[in-house]
Amino acid sequence: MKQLDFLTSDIHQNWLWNVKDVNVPQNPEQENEKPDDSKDPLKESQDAEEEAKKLEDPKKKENVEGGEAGKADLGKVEGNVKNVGDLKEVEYKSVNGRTVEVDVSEKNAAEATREAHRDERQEAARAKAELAKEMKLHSEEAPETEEPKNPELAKVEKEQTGEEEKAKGEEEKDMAGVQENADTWLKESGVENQDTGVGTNVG
Amino acid sequence: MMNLNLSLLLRLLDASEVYTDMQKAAIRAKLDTVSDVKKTELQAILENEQKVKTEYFKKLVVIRKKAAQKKMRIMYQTAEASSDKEEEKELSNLDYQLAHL
Repeated sequence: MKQLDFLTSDIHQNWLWNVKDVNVPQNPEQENEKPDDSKDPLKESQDAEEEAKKLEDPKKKENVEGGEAGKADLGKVEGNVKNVGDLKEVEYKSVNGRTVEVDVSEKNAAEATREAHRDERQEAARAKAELAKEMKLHSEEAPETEEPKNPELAKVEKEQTGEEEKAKGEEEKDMAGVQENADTWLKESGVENQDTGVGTNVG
Repeated sequence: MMNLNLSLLLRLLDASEVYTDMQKAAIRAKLDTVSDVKKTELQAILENEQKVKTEYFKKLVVIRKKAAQKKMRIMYQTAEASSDKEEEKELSNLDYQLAHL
């Protein structure tokens, strides 16, 4: 009976009316997420927009999508607004004196994705060109390697070198004998000790 | 005993590497004062020098010709083997393609 009294009471009726009017979520956890009425949502949106504009240069824009620097920037924005999603995807509009959330997430996301992809492609092309340039430089710097020789050919060349050296050794030995004979002849002939009158090297 | 050939002796002296240019000039200048025996000895020494050089170059020619022939043979065999391998591979590919038609 007490329950019935409560349900029909003015307090309860007023409470129900208020609930319907403001559409307060029944889940206490959701209630915690309700925007703070004490803050002006429009002002909040404008602030967030300004904050977003600060991050609008292409590099940072790309980073908002997931880059390291972008994450840092997002962290900064998160400190100022309740929800990063609000910053990017929700616009507040005034309809009949009431502030209404307009979801622009799909539109923004599609545009951001397109831009990010375009930037990614450009960045990848630049990186590829850089890499190709670097590889070309390295290939130019690298010493030219000789074409690998047939081991049998190398063996023949080695044999040839050995035989040539041997022949040269024999020739030098023979020439040493010739030189000794030539020196001896010069001494014995007496030409060396004579005044030849030749004072300069004619060669 | 070798016959003395003065013209040959002078040419051998010019080509010689066992004497310096100054020594060669001195020999030419005083050759008249040298006995024929000594001149003949000098001719023999210089001829021997040329013989040693000739032998050396002949040896080099033989060594190099032999090496060139060996190299040519090896290169020919290598080219032939490579060609055989390529043909074999091609035939193998054709066989595979035929088997999977």
